[in-house]
Amino acid sequence: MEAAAPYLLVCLLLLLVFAGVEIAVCLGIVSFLAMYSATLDLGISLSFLNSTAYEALRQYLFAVVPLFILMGQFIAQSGAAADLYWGIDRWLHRLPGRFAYATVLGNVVFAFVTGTSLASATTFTAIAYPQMKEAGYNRHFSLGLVSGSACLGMLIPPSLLMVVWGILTDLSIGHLFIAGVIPGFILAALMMAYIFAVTLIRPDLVGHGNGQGQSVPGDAEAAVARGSASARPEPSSLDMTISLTGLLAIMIGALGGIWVGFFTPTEGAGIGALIALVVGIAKGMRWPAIYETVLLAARTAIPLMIIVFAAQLYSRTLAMSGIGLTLQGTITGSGLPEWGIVLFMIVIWLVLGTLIDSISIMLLTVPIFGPVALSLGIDPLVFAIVGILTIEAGLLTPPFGLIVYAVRSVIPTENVSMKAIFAGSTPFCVILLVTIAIILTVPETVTFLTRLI
Amino acid sequence: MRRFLQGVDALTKAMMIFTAFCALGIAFLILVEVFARNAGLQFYGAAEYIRNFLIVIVFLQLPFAIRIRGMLVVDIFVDSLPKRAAVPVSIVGDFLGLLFFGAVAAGSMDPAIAAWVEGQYEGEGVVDVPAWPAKFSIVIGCGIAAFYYYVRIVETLRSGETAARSRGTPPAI
Repeated sequence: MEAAAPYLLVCLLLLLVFAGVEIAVCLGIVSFLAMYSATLDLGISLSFLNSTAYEALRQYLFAVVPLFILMGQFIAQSGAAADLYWGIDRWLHRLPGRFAYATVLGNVVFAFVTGTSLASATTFTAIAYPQMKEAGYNRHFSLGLVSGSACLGMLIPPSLLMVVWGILTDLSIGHLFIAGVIPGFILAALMMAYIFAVTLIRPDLVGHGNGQGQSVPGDAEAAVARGSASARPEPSSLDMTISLTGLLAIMIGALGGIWVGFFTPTEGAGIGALIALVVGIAKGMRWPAIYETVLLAARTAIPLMIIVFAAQLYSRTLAMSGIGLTLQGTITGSGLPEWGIVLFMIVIWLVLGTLIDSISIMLLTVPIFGPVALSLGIDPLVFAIVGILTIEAGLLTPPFGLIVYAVRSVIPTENVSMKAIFAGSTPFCVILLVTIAIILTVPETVTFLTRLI
Repeated sequence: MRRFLQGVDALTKAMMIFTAFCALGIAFLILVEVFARNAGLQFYGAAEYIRNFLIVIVFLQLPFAIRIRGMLVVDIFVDSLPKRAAVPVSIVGDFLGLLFFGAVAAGSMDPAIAAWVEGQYEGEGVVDVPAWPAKFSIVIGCGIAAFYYYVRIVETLRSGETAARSRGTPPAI
C-alpha cells in the first residue's frame, strides 16, 4: 500500500484537476494529504502549510510576475501594439503577404514587452486579423497565423512560463530569458519561410499574392466589441513614434539591463512597468484608464501568484515525502532509452496541452520531469526551452487548444469554425515541433548566448 | 447573512484595490533603489519591504480572485456533465477549497499572533521589517477565501446551479 501511495496521489491530483477543482486547491489539498500521510500529525501538516505560505512567496524574485504583467497591460491598453503593427506594415509595403510577415514580426517585438502567448493571440486577433481580412487573405490562414505566431510570446523574454519554470526548478530566470532568444528567432524565421512558401505556392491565401490590400478606415475596437472585425485607422506619425520609442526603451532599458547584468530580473520588470506607464501616459492614458489597467493587471497576476504558492507546496511535498523520487525512478527505470524518455515526456506535454493551460501543465509535470532530464544529462536550459515549446504546441492542437479558443473568443460573430482555425494553425504547430527537433539536435541554439553573457 | 456578505465583499474589493496599487508602488520603490544605487546614495531595505509586500499583495487579493471565480481551473469536462452530476462535483470542489484555505488560515493564526506579541522582525542588517502584517495577511486572506467557498456551497445548494455554469457571470463586487 505504501509503495502505491505516490501513484494514488498522482491519480487523485489528476482526478481533481479534471473534475474542475481549481488548480491551486488541487495542488494544495494533495500536498496537505501527502504530508499528513507521511507524518500522521495534523499539527506538523498545518505548520507545513503556514511555513510554505509565508516563506515560499517571500522572495524578491517573485515580484517579476505582477510587474511584467503590469508592463504588458500598460502596453496593450495604450494601443502601442497596434502602432507597432502599422509601423512594420508600412515598412514592408511592397512585399507580397506583407500583413502575414507583419503579424509575425509584430509578435516578435510584442513578445519582448509581454509575457504570455494568450495576450499576444487576443491582441493580434484584434489588430492584424481585420487588416488581413480586408486585404482578402484566407480567413483560416489568417487566424491560424495569428494563433501560431502568438506562441512567440512564451519563448521570447520576458516570458511568464520561463519565470514559473525558473521558480519550479531553481534555474536562473535571467539565463532562461537569454536562452529563449535564439530559439525565438529560429521559430520566427521558420514561420516567415512558411509564409514565403505560401506566397509562392498558394498566393490566393494571402489576397491573391498582391500584398497590396488597402485597409478600410473603421473603428476596430467597436468592431471587435461587436464580435466582428474591421480594419483600424492608421495612427498618426507622432503616435507611432511614441509607441516605437517606448517599446524600444523597454527592450533596451529593461530587458537589455537584465541581460548585461545591470538589473536583476525584478528590477528590470519594475523599470519596464514604469516605462510602459510613461508610454501609456504619452499615448493619452489618463487616471481612469490607468486605474483600470492596474486593477486588470492585478486580476491577471493573482491567480498566477496563488498557483506559485500551491506549486511550492507541491514541489516541497514531492521532495520531502519522497514521492518525487519514486515517480522519477519509475520513469528512469522504465527501460526506455534516453531519447525514448524525452519522447515520452514530450508526448505527455502535447497530450496535456490539448486539455489544460500551460501553467497548470508545468506545475503538474516539471517538478517530476525536471530532475529526470537532469539525471539523463540534458542541459536544464535546453530542457526548459523544449518543454515550453512543446507545451505551446499543445495549445494549438484540437480538441481544446487554448490559444485557438482565445483567438476565436475575440471574434465571436465571425463565420469561421474552430475546426477551420485548428486546420489553419496546424502548419504552425508543425513548425514548433521542427524547432524542438532543431534544439535537441543543436543544443547550442539555447546555450550559446548564455555562455557569452 | 446578506448584509454580512456585502460587508465582506466591500472589504475584499478595498483590499484588492489597495494591493493592486501596492504592485505599482513596488515598481516605484525599485526605481528609487536603482537610482540611489547608481548615484552612490544609501537606500536600504527595498528588497526586504518588497518581499513582505508580496505576501500582503497575494493573500489580500486572494479573496477577490475566488469571489469573481478568477482562479485557474480546467472546466472542459465538468462543463459537459449533466446537471445532476455537476452539482455534487462542484460542491465537493468548493468544499476542498474551504478545507484547504481554512487549514492555511488555521495553521497561520498562532504564528501571526506570536509575531505581534513577540515583536518579530525580518531583515538581515540595517533595516528590519515587522513580520506581523504579512503573517496576518495570510490569516485574513485565507480566512475570507474559505468563507467565500462556504458561500459558494450555500449558493449552489440553494440555486441548484453549479459554479461552472455561472462562471460567465461572476458576482459583481
